[in-house]
Amino acid sequence: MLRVEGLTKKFGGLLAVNKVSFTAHKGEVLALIGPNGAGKTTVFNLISGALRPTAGQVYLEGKPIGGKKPYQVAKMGIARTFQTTTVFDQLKVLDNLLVAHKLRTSSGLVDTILRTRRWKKELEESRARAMEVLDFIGLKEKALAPVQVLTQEERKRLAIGVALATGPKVLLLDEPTAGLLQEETEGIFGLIKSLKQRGMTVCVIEHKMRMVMNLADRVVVLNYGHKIAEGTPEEVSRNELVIQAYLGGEHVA
Amino acid sequence: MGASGLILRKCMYLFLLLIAVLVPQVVTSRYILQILIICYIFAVATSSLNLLLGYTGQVSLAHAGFFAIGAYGVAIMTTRSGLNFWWALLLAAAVSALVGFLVGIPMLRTRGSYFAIASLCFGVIVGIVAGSWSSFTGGYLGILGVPLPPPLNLPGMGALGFQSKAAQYYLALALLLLTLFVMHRLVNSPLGLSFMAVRNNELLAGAVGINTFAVKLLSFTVASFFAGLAGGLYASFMRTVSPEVASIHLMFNWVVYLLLGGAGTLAGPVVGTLAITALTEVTQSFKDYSLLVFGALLVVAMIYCPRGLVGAWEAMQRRLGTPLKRFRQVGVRDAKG
Repeated sequence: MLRVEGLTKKFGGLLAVNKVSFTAHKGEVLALIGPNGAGKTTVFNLISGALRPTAGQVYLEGKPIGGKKPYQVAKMGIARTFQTTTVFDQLKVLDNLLVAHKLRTSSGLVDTILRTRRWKKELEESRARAMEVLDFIGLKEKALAPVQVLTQEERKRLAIGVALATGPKVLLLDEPTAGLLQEETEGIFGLIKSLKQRGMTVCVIEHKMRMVMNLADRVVVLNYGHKIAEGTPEEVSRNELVIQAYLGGEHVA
Repeated sequence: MGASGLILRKCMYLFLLLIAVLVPQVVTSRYILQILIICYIFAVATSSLNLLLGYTGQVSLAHAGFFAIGAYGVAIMTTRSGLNFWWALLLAAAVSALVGFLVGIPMLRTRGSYFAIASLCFGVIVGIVAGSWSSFTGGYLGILGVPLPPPLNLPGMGALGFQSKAAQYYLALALLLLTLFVMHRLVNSPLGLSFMAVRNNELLAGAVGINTFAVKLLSFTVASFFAGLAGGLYASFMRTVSPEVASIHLMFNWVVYLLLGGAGTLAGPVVGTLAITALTEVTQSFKDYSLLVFGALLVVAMIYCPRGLVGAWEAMQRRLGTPLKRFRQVGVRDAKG
């Protein structure tokens, strides 16, 4: 589904991501883990087009997407969330989803001013899609609320909902539970689980190991921009290099 | 909003419209009518600036430039080529939009204050060109004798002339209503939401598949069109144009109207234009000190109602629960059964 090949990014003299390759298969949850500064978010930025790779290529269903702009990557079917919860906080909850679904519509300026049949039909479709997403993320009751009244956890749900409303084939979640309480984290876990049940391909950056172990089909471990391990959660948790990266080598003490 | 709240709102707009329509029947002073006409034209310009500054979050200071292109367009086409005013108006606005589109391409690649400065430069350049290209624009003397709009043949009403101030008033009002109608439809649509998404968070807007550059360019082009339209009508009603129409003062006035009225609201530009014009008229007796009063008021307003008069009104409604709001709540309860 999503294939990353030899992805490399240099910031001046700093090699942030070095020849990283991995594949996310259709319908699986792939976790991207590693210590702080390992280059996980940079990998997401490279896939989603926010950054241009120095070398390497990303393929979605065999089609290369390297070098495309973020909005083009989103149209191809890769949606992402950001590490700091990012939603349109000046808009209402429903409008967040409507605007995220706009990339699947084709009405232009003239359609909008004249409110043509196409415009109405597309608005109906977008609304239906938005309500579906709201139902899924459990915010149906708050459709018309402004984002300001949402709790932190609800905003995280909405951020995932905004990504879902773009109609993605692959979802990239950057630390979806960062800064949440235990029980709130469970809620987001549940959401990702039901996404998986629906056959969505999910790549997730996560620090909470319990979540990684329970949720991920496979795990890719990065350290200093290199991929140091890949495999099932069990395999990875027994890997010498991974343990060293997380707990420090003998010489570090 | 509940259904009855919506109806109440519509009633309020209809009431305001009724007042606007009745004004020339009651007010006979040519002076006041003239001020209102200019108010409406400036409200059109401010509304179009609002699309860009208020809804798309791009602080453009080029607006007087586009107003001037519309004004000179109409003046040149009607006096030199003898083109019918209505065609000239439409063409001048189209030229303004085209210029907006073309200069928008390089200019909108800059962001924030850089964009503000780049757009300010454009406005200044238009003013210099208007002043210096004497053979085309009449130089600093400008163009005199711009014709009034020719009579309009309306079915069932006969020819409608624009000699009288009242007729001019209605034409300016019609232009304002047309502008507000287009803005209303734009803003209350997914396309309008994409404008606001760019204003709110450009990074996220791009991530959800919005071509942010195209959105900004579209907003800029539409805003230029309406600024040109306003300029064209202004030239005809003033019967003359000079490089003054491209002046920074004019443009900064609109920015103040917008900020005081409430950027990012449909009513804001109209409220701001009318309120400040009224204020300027009232403080005229202070002569040079009027600017001082004006400046102080601006500072106070910016501190205590940063979202403008319309923003303050909305906040007050929320806090006090005005009849309008109580009505809305009843409406919701009723709808639920």
